[in-house]
Amino acid sequence: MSATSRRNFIKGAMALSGLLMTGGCMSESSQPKNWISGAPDPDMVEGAKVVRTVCLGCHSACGLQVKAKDGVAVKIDGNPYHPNTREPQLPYATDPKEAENVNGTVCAKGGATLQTMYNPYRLQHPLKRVGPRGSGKWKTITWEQAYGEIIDGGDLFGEGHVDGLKAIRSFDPIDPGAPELGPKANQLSFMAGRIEHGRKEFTDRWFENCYGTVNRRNDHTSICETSHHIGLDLCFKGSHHIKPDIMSAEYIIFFGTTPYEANFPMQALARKLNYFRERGGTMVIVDPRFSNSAAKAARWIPILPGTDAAFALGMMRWMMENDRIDLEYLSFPNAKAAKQGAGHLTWSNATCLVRDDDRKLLKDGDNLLVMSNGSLASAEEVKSADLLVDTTVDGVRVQSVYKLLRDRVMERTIQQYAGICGLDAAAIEREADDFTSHSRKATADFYRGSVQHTNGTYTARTLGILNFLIGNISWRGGCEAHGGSHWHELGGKPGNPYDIKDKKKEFLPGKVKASGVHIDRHKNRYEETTEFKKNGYPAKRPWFPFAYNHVYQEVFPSIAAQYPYQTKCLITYWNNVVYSAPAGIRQIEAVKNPKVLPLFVAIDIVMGETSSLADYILPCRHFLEDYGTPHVAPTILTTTSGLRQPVAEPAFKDTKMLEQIFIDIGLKMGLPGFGKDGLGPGRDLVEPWDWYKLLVANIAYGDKEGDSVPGATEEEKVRYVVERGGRFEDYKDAYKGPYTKHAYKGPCFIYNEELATSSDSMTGEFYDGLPVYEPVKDCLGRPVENMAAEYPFHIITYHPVYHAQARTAASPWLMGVTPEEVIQINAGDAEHLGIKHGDMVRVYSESNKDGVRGKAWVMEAIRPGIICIPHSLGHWQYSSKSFELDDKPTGSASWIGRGCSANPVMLLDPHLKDVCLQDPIGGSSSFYDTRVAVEKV
Amino acid sequence: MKHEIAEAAAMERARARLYTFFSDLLLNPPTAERLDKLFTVAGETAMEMLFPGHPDVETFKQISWRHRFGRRQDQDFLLDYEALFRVPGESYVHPFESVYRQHDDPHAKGGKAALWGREAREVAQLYKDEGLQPREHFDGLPDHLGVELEFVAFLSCKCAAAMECGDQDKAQGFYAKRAAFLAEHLLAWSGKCLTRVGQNASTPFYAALAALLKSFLEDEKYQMLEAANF
Ligand code: SF4
Repeated sequence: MSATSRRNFIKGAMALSGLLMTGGCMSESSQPKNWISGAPDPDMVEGAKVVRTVCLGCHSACGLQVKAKDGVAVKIDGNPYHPNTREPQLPYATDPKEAENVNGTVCAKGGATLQTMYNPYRLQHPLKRVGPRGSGKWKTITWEQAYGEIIDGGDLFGEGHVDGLKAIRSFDPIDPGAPELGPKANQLSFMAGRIEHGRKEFTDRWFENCYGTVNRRNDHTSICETSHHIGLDLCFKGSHHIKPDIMSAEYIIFFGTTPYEANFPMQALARKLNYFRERGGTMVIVDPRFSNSAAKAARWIPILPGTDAAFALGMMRWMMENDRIDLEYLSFPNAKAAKQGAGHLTWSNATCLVRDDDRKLLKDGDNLLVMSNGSLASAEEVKSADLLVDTTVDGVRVQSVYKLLRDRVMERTIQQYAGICGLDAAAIEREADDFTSHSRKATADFYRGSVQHTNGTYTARTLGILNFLIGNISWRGGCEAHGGSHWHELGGKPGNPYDIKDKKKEFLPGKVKASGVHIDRHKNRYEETTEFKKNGYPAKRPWFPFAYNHVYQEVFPSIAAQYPYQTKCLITYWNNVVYSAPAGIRQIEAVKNPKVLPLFVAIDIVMGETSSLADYILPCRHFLEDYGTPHVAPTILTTTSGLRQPVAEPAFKDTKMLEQIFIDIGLKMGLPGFGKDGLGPGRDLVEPWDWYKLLVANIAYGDKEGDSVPGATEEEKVRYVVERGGRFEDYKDAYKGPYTKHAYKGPCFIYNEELATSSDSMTGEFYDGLPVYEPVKDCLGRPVENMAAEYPFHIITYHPVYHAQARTAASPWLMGVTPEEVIQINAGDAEHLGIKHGDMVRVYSESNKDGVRGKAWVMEAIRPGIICIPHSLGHWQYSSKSFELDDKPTGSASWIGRGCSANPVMLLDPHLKDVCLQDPIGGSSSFYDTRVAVEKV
Repeated sequence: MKHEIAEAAAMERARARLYTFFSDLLLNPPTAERLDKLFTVAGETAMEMLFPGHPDVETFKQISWRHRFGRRQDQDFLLDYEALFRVPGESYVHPFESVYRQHDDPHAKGGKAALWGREAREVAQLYKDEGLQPREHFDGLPDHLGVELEFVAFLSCKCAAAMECGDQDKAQGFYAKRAAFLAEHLLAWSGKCLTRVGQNASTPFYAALAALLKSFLEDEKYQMLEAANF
């Protein structure tokens, strides 16, 4: 720079001084602080071992890419091979080392699972109670002592003799006078809260085929959304979950769910919906609460809880009156006609004929009959059939399913439907119009909020059938009723090397066949019992012939009632029914009396509300220390088999995997199927991997010949899957022409004959085989009294995006972002009651006059007349308070118990008085049918 | 000799001002008040003196005239600033060193171009070593282009102050630190980022600003090389 240039530069720079506005972004300090706290420190992660597993922070089953250093898990990202975590996921052939440079996403809960794994309040050794049940007094014992006492029984607590597992395992009948109840071995019940694929098949094998009890699972789905599955199962053949094909859809109406916060897989739903909305897709949210999803929706419809079926019937009426039904689709009576007529992969039973005398479908032998151009014909033999039929055949009045549906829909006007929903008719009309304006690229989807009602199964069927009326099933952009599904880890498909389902009896030498009635009476018909023959209707407690998923909230009350027989030993796993079920606190007493329930063993990672009532607690592993082969929801269109595997050393060495506990007990009891050749000749079963390596091999070889992953040997193929955290079909294979690739190809039942010809065990009345709206009822079929004067509010609940059921409360990160104010109330209602944001309020109901207390969250984002308390808070155990261990109080953290839960105020069934209201068909517990009062305290 | 030192110190202070000027414009949105101060006769003169003959000075002057004569584009500038530096989207340039240094193309899909990468931690430590901390309400990252420019300005000021006190060793120390920081951090990535600003800017103002800063930094590099050879 020349001297002149330098001088000009200096002068120019001087002139700049006057142009500046700020003093910069940094200041000097003798003790400068760090830039931000909590920034990730990749130093810890560099050089770490990467293990790919599957999250169980919620049931979404997202793949995780976990970094572990010196045996400690230090960082969680999404597994980039897994379709839940990326759009698109990495091609499966990608080298696993290269894939380490790419991260998928995880949600806040997923990342925080490190904190539930390294939770200092986890149970570290087997415990035995030393005071009365539920007294909170425990002593540490060895595994050997625990196994010995649980197996052999004896005077274990100084309260008299208790039968152990050995004594209970008898194949004599429980009651020779009622042989249908099955053998005494059924007096052992297993009751898992959260149990997943790979594991549940293991415990099913243990309980059902090694031990011999029918009470093999009793898992939690009835407090989740089981009537959604049951309702859809009654709409399809072998399919029980629908999801919109979001990436190709144009219009989606979500009833009773908030896909940006929950539902499955939550983070994939949220991501795909972002793409959907970016493309101009219309998302409509029907929910009394203005959820995160409603905030992103084109329209929010603040419906009254429990009335979704009325909304759908109103839409159907508008569609029928405005010629918006795909009558051509409905007129196809069989698969061939539907495919050849308009390319459909599915067909409905709209043209089938229902007999007036016995509610059955009109048949000739096994052949369904329809009317085609006014003549009776086999449904299989005509290309199209008549939709509006009302005639007489052999002296019996028969009507077509579509005619019956039409009559049902026309029972009320749109205004009347809207009145039930607490909405304007225009809201129903607008959605009916929009839903039918996108050809097949529209879907009506629903989840928990629609079905955890006494009318849950009916609502599920009604909403599912709304889709049939536009013929959108299995089309690209339409309603997906199958999804990519998974490779069959249990074998039985042509490509699988191991048929673990064991049709040929090679995998369980000495297999036992369990039989009899389940303690919760799921899948059992009352009419087939001795009790029915003696007493007729009503049964002592409800029976649930359609509830294939177990009836979780019925187990404890049934144990207390010793109905249909006494339970001598209950083993729970990851189970917190008294916390998680509606009115669950009323089930505490049910298991407290050792005379009624002599032995109660809990397997858990913490001192949960339910495990605190047990005789023994066996400490198990966290899911990051476990195996599993989780599946995903049909949101994912490509085939997905995740592999859960331990990512690091167990946080606490004296804990065991669930499978190991049962292998140990099996070996000690000498049950068939364990130890040398336990899984058949040459296949020992002494540790969990012995089981899982067969499952992974089946996944690796695939379902068809030639479907295998690369690898010269089985070991290499298994490694290929293990390194990638599962097996994943490539993203590009999601579609096949105008359909989704793995589409449902089967019938769609508008009328369900089996349902329509089955009677309720309490009322003796037939169930309804058509879409229907039914108000809230108790188990005797009586409408539940509204009592609006005393209880002016309707209470609902939901999962905030940073919580899932019970376990997330142990994460300081997640609790750190959870507001203190938990009782959500509309601002107008709050003003009327003199409640201000942050005030302490009491919420109480007819079943719980004392109620729950918490801080008010005054908001506009909720329909007036609705109170909402998010789930996952309000623990009273979980180390939110101390218990006594080896004569000393344990450490505790009160923040774990912060807030309150809606469950304690949920209504008890007025007849049974010991369990919440329930859906008699699906077995769902009612979370949204309770009225409450609120007052400032 | 004394005169030479004084001139060298003045040069360092001038440098510091120019670094601060650019830092200020990159870290803060173009408010009306800020634009009013910038688009003045003094501003135009300063640009002419600092970047004699640079084609983008003309652009700057034209924008400045229009502003002074009532044809303001405040909203356009604000939107451009937000799109370039704040809102992840099509025009976003990811103005952070660790994004550029860990991945050649920060816009490539599937790459690992993380915020708070190694370079961000390194520069944060360098700032701390010099007794600097982020101001209370500043929530940016340490490897933001504007923050790195401010740090060079700080080192230049320190260097000038040491010279003015006659502490040549200390001045030499700051000079060396500045040179090292430029070589190991700022100059190693700013070129790519500024090229992207030029490409993505929707107003000529930010395109010109990027070009002027780029040319200044290239000049700095050249002078550093010259000094090293000397
Ligand atoms: S959505 Fe559920 S499974 Fe997926 S990362 Fe979050 S907590 Fe884990």
